[in-house]
Amino acid sequence: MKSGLEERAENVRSRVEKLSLVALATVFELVLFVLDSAIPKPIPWIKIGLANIVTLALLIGAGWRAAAAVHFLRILIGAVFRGGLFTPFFLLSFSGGAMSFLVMAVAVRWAMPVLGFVGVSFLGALAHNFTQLVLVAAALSDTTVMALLWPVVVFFSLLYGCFSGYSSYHLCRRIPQLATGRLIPAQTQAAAGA
Amino acid sequence: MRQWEFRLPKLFTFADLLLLLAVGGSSFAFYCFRFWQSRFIETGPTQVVIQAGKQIVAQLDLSQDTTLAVEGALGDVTVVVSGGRVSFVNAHCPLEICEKTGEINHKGEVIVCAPNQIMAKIVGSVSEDSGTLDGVSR
Repeated sequence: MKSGLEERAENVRSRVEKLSLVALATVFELVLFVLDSAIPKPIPWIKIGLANIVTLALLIGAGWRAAAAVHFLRILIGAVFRGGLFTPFFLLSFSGGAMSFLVMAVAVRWAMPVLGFVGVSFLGALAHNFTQLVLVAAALSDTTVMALLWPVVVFFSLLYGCFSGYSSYHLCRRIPQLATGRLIPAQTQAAAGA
Repeated sequence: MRQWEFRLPKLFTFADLLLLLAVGGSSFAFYCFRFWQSRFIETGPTQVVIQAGKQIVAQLDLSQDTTLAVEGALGDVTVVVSGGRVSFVNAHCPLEICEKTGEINHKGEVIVCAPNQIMAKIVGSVSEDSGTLDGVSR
């Protein structure tokens, strides 16, 4: 039986832990995000989505609240880093990111035991690129562009989605903080008894 | 002693494979279909327009092999349409730039013989340009 004071201390501890985790993960994502822009790619406007690796890991380990905080902070601060906050390109990046987060969150919550890391990551990449393509087609009011680029987008989503799913899995395995959503390991039953 | 204890979902499942194959396969099929469809649209109506001065002298289908003598300022120029390609021969002009241009077969390509004031330009009645990209934003 815990006393009120202990319970409160535990509560504060867990909130501080969450805050620190979100802060660290955001920095991690930002580094990956900037790195992503620097890597030369066959099609420059389809990003690898390196930052999404961390988002997926957090969705699985730390829950959707922490993941959402990290994801959207990264999009916002990332736009400051790259320049172009609140420009049309930011809108493109933001809506793609939001859609991809939504799809991944739903997939992790409802489809995760059936789908693996790769499947969820692929769905996220697909949602991201699809949203951007639809917005571009709407802006140009030309659906031909969309029909023409759709297979390309699917191909690269497949490639990059598999890659980031694989990376996310191994990141979770190597960094238990991401896999559990805690900075300090929880006191296990066995350890508490000993 | 505190230890990390966690269980991760699987990296790759059978459902993943099905998902990848379904989405990848369907879009590949769609791409093939469009490619196959576009063959029919683009090959038919490509034509070459031949102008002498400001007047259109002839408009020929590229699919039909023909030879046409066009009266130019310095004499007759022979325009040859062969195998879907257009070329000028025997132009009687000093530099023979039009002959050296060689054969043209793509929409928008031209052969010009300035001394004879003759121009051949390939046009398509279907606007193929709408399907191609001219810029990239990132």
